[in-house]
Amino acid sequence: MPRQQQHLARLGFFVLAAGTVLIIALFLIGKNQHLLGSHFVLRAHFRNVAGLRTGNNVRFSGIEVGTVREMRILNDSTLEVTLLVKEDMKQVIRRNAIASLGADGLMGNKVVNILPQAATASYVKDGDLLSTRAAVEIDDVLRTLASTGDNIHAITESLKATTARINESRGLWTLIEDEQLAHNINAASGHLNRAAAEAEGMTRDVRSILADVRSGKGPAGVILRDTAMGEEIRSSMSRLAAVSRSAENLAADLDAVTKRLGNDLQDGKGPLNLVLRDTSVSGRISRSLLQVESGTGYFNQSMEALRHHFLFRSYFRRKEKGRNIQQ
Amino acid sequence: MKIPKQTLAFLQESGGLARFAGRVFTEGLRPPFELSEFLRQCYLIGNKSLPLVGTTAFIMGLVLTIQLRPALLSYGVESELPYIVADAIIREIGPVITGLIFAGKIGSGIGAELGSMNVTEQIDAMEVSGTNPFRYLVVTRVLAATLMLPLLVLLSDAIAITGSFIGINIKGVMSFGLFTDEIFQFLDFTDVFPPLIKTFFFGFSVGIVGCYKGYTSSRGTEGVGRSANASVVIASMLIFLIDLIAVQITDLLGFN
Repeated sequence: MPRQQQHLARLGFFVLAAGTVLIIALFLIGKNQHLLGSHFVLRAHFRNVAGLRTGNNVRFSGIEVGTVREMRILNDSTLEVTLLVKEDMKQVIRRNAIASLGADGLMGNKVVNILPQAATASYVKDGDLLSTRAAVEIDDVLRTLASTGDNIHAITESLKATTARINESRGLWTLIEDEQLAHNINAASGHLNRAAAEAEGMTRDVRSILADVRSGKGPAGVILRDTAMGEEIRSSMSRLAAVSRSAENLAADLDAVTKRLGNDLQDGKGPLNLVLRDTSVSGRISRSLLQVESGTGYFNQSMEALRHHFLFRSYFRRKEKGRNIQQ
Repeated sequence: MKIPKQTLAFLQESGGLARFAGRVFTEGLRPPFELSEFLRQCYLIGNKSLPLVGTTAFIMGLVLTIQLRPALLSYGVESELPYIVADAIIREIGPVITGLIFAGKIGSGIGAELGSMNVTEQIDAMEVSGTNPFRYLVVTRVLAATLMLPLLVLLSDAIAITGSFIGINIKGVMSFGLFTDEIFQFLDFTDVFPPLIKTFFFGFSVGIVGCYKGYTSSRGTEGVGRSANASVVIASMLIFLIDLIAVQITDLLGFN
C-alpha cells in the first residue's frame, strides 16, 4: 500500500472512531431522555407540582419508565402534567394507579411516582388521566419536626429538673447506698417466701377441711350438712323456747308472791310480821335466851363434877393420853 | 491624537488576522479544492496528535477523579463521582486541555513550517509555478485543524472518562455498567453539544493563528522561531477568550 493510502486509511479510522464515540454518547443520552423508542402519553392533574421540571423522571414502583414532557396551568388550582411513558408499560400500568410527586433523595430532583393499587382495573390507554395524591412537602415535614423538637425540649427540661432533684435528695441516696437495707430486703423477702409457703399450707388445710365439711365429716360437717341433726336442733330450739316461756311464767309468779309478802309485812299479818314487828315478842325471846344461858352454865358445872367422879375419871384420862400421842 | 506604539501594533495585528481569516473563507469556498493536501494535513494534524492528546486526557481523567474523591466523600456523595468528573471533562476540561495541547503542537508546527517556507522563499516560488500558495498551504491547514480538533476532543473525552473509571477503581470498586449508568443518568444533550461546537472555533483559531504568523513572518531564521512562539501564545489566549464567550452564549440560551 502506498504511503499516501496508508495515511488515508489511518485518518479514516481516526474519524470513524471519533464519530462512533459521539454516536454512542448521543444514543445513551437519548435513551435516558426517552427520546428514542416508542412511548405513549399519560396525564395527571396536580394542585402543586413543587418544582417539578420538564425532563424529570417518571417511576413506576421505583423503576424509571419515562419522563415529564409538559406542564400546563389549567386554572388557578389545577396543573396538568403530561408524562411520556414507555410503550411496553401499557401492559403494566392500570387505570386506578395513582401518580404522586416525590423526590430523589432528600434534596434531589423531583420525580413522579406511579403507584399501582390493590384493586384490579383495565390497563391504561394513550392519553389517560391518572388520579393523584398530594405530595409530602418538605416544609410540612420540617414544621412537624419543629413542634416535635419543642416538645422534646420541654420534656428534657423537666427531666433535667427531675434528675437534679433526685441527685440532691440525700434520703434517696442513703437508701440506695445502704447495704444493710439490701440485706434486710433480702431477709424480708425470705420471710415473705416462708410466710407465703405457710399460707399455702394453711389454705391447703382449709381446703381439705372444707372438703370434709362438704362431705359431711366432723361436727361442723354434721351441723352444716346433716339434715336429721338440723331437724333435732330445730325441735330442741322449739323446746328451749317453751322452757324459757314457762320460766317467764315462774318469774311472774315469784314476783306476785314477793309482792304479797311485802304487803303482808306492811299490813302486819302472819307469823313473820309478829316476829319482826311485835316488841313484846322480842322481849320474851331475849328473856328465854337468858334463861337458856344460865341453864347451860349449870350444866357445865355438873359435867365438871362428873369428870372428877371416880367412876368416870379413868375414861377422861385415857382420852387425854390419846390426844397427846396424836400430837 | 497619538496612539501608543504597542497599541498600534496590536490593532494592526488584529486587523491583519481578521483580513487573513476573511481571505480563508473567500479563497476556500471557491474551487478548485486541494483535496489530497487537505487529507494529508488531516492525517498529520489529527492522527499524529492523538497519542499526545490521549495520554494527557487519560491522566487528566485519572487525576481529577482521585483529587475530587475526598471532597465528595466528605459530602457523602461519592456515588456521584462518575457524573461530576464526566460532566467536568465533557463541558470544560476536555475541550480546553485538548485545545491547549493542540495549540502547542499544531499551532507551533504550522507557524514554524509556513515561517521557514516564507523565509526560504518557497511560497514565492509556489506562486511563480502557478499554484495558489494560500489555497494550497493555508486553507487546507485551517480547515484540517477546524475539523480535526472536535474529533480529537471526542476521543480525548472518551479516554479521560476511561481514566476516571480506573481512578475510581483504584480507591474503590464500581462496575463499568454502573459507572456509565451514573454518567448517562444525568447527562444531557446540552452537556455535549455546546462544548463540541466551541471546539470547532478552537480548532479554527489555532489553524488561522499558526498560518497567519507563519505566512507573515519576518525574514530571517529568527522570524521563524518568533512566529512559532507567537502562534502558540495567541492561539492559547484565543482558546480561553472563545471559551469565555461560549459560556456566556450557552448561559444566555439556557443550556447551563
